Amino acid sequence: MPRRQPSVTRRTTVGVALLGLAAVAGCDLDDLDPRSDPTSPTDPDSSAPPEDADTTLVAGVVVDLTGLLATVRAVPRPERAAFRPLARLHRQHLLALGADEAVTAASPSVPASEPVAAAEAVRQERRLQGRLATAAVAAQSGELARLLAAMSAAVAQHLAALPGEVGAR
Amino acid sequence: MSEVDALQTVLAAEHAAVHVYGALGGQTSASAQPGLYAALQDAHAVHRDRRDRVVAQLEGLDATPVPAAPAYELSADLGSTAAVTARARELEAGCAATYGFWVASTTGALRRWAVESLTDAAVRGLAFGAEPEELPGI
Repeated sequence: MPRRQPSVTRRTTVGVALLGLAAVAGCDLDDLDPRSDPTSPTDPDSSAPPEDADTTLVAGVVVDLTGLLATVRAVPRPERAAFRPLARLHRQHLLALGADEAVTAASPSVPASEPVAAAEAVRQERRLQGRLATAAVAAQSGELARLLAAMSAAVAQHLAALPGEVGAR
Repeated sequence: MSEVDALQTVLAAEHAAVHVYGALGGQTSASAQPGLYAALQDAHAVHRDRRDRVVAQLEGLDATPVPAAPAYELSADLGSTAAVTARARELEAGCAATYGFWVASTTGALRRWAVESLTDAAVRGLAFGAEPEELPGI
């Protein structure tokens, strides 16, 4: 019988994500509402509630980060050791977004039994870095944009710091 | 903060970066420390180009770009490689923080430029001995 993955609904994930973001930014939840964000570019006449757009955005980022966490965990030894800092980073970013342990333990896209080549893991990390940058540009809240941009920059830093031979094959 | 205010803040940071990298390059030997010298030259060119682009952007918005300060603070002792790299590291960390605020204060193409600049500063800092961070610029 296959092991059941932790069940986390998107709504639950996003709810805690916004709480986590508030904790990281050291601000009140009201600060995450683009209508009260002095740096927010939100159009006040927009018909769609802007917080919904950011909620969806954060949920997508949580899914992406969770997938990458599973990917780097599936890199075989001995190269897996080089990815430990990236795995730690993804966990920290998930926690910064408020995702709980059940989310960080989930591996929705890559079963742990399937090994992932280091080069493929590097490619996926590069794609994640680009998606985080795109999400930063798309965010309605200026503070969320800053957090996502910093996450993208952190992934770029960690990739640049990987030993040269990792992912070369 | 308006987009013009954000750009003016970035421009002030770029003026400082161009000045400081020029000074750090002057303290570094191209023959004895070719790697460090090249990294400083590259950083100087990148910040100079970004400064010029920000000036053009501000002029396009009918704003008067802030001028460079008459002088910028530099450690009196830049005679060692450690001192030069420490100042460069500190400079990129400061720029990353500025770009973070720039990201928060802009939208669209300007924000994309800010995001790219933040990534550039974060990665460039590694060349001067910075350690990868959890959230660079924050």
